[in-house]
Amino acid sequence: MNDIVLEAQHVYKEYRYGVINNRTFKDDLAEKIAKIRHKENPMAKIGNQDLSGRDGQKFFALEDVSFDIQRGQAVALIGRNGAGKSTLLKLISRITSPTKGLIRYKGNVASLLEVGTGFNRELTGRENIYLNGAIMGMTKNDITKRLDEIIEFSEIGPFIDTPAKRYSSGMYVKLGFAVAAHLDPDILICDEVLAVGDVSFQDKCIRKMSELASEHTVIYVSHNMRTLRQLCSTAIYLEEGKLTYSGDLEHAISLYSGASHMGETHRDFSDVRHQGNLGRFVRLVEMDILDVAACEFEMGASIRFRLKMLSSVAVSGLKIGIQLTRAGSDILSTALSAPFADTKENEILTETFEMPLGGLAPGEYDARIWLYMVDPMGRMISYDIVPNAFRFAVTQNPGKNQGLLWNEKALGLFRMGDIERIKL
Amino acid sequence: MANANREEWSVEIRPAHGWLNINLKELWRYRDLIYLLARRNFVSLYKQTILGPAWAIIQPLLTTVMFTVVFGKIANISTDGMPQFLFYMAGNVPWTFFARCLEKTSETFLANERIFGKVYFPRLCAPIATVLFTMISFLIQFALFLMFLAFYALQPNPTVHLNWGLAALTPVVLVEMGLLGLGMGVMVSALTVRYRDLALLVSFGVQLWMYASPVAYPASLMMQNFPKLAGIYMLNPMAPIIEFFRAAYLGTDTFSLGYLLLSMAVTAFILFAGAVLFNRAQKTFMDNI
Repeated sequence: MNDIVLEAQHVYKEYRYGVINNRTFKDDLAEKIAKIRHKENPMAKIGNQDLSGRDGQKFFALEDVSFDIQRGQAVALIGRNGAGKSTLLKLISRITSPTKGLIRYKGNVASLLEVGTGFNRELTGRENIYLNGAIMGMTKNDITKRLDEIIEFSEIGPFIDTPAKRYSSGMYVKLGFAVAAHLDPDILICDEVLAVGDVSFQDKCIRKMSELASEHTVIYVSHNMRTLRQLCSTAIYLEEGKLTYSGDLEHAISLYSGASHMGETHRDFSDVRHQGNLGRFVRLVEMDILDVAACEFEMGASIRFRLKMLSSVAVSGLKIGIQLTRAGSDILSTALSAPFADTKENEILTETFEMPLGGLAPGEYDARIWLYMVDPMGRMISYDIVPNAFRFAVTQNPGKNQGLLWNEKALGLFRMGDIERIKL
Repeated sequence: MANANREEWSVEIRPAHGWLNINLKELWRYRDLIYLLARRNFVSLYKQTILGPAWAIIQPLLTTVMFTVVFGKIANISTDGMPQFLFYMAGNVPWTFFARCLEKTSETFLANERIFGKVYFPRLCAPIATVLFTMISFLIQFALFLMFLAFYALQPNPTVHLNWGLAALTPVVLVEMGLLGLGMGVMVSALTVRYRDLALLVSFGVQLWMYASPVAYPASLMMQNFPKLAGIYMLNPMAPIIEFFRAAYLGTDTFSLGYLLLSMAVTAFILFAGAVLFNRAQKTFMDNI
């Protein structure tokens, strides 16, 4: 269905380097007079050689950005700091204007770049709900209709008629989020700061947001890939003001998390930076992933790989572990090996391993290789760790999943062991 | 808030050009916000004060007393034969309203920087709310003025006599003053985005403007001393307005409706110019402030 609710066409936003417009009328006048007399601009920076010489030069915070968003889509806006995410949000929410280009949308946009905008400390909670709601574009009637829901959600309860200055900071943001969550716009722009308050309230916020994301068109900005995976299916990826990718969320996340090593089956670890003592006694040198042309594996398959290691000292009972992460998230899981070698001094070892992927869900993963031993006292000694050693993708295999296409949001990250019917 | 007409593009965001595209319909849609902002200003100003809105009374009362002493008793400036206290109050109350409107609305961008940077709503809501809020103080002060007026008018052989016909025009003139203050204020606020100096000049400028208006003296005195400058003097839109109040409520006879119409024309021009400048400033103000 082609039902575009928001589109951007060749949007540019230009800024100048340096402090903008801290000038006085006198400065402007001096500049004008100099211009009339054909003299050098007295306000111009001298030299233009040093770093501050970029002052006054223009740069594009957004450059030729075009995209469109379908009704009901939940779109993640991803990019590093300074990529232009905030600028784009400011343009869409009409806080500032583009330098060139056009953005247009159907219906109305509510942008939640902050909760509790315009809260007044002297007003009571109830009065602030009205004020904040009106600032967000609701009418008094809209608010009155949802007032009970908002108060209920905010957990403020009996304090609703107390001036906001008596609120704890937690109550303050809860109330702010409650109003924001009950706006009913056609297009909702959310910033990650929205999940506020204590842990249980944060959960509530995220739940409410996924509820909103399933009913509305949502543009969501966050550095937390876990939340994005919960809320969004597609993404727009910005890099230095340019839109470099728009489409599948996982791919955008992999772009965001750095150069993709997918497809590379050989990795040289000589340029890995080791922290502390890591790599001093036993070091991972290189690895090869065997049997495949690209690091893509069906669900339930195994990865075979060969590791080359250099041992400077004698070590007994060396083990490896493979730890899986996904861009921007914590360690998901770890596979361990039995002790595979007792090394001698200055020995180069080459070993081949096989790691079954088990029930790992389709998606892209980063593997971290960990070399360690456990001494007889039960103490663990890490010899080397290579983060992001390789990246691989697990692909769909409905044939082995009872005919299901594995949907991470519905089914989770792992398929556990099968349920067997038993007879007692 | 769901929009019934889903087929049309409801908003098109383009680069900031175009001189005057103030969206009055949108402004009307946000009328609740205007009301709530005005209410917020009022509540946050007077909450936790002992006297509350009574402060609105004390200020013009003290100013009027000062004027009566300094300009009336010491400098002995003519008051067109009117009781000095009433004469100065009739000038002070409308002047205070105008001056407050101008001073407060001129701070629009600087005072609302945080909100404006986070949420879009028609920026004009803020200065309009300010004017409405200031109007509340004016009404309180005006009621006080009417009480003093009644006191004087009920004396035997009163020197003041109400001109009912003119007094009926009061709401119109009140709106004009509000719009004038709004127009000047938003103009200044638009310029302060670029030139901070202007913010410092506002209160000083307002003070100078007061002496250029017949607040502390009757316009007739000005006309007598500088008859050739009368036309220029009356270009100051506040001059006919204050003269109007004195004519309507005290019964001075130096007022002419022609000058009031001129004042309205000037007001319309200032409002238009202010709206144009404000409109331009609001689109890029976040990049400039």
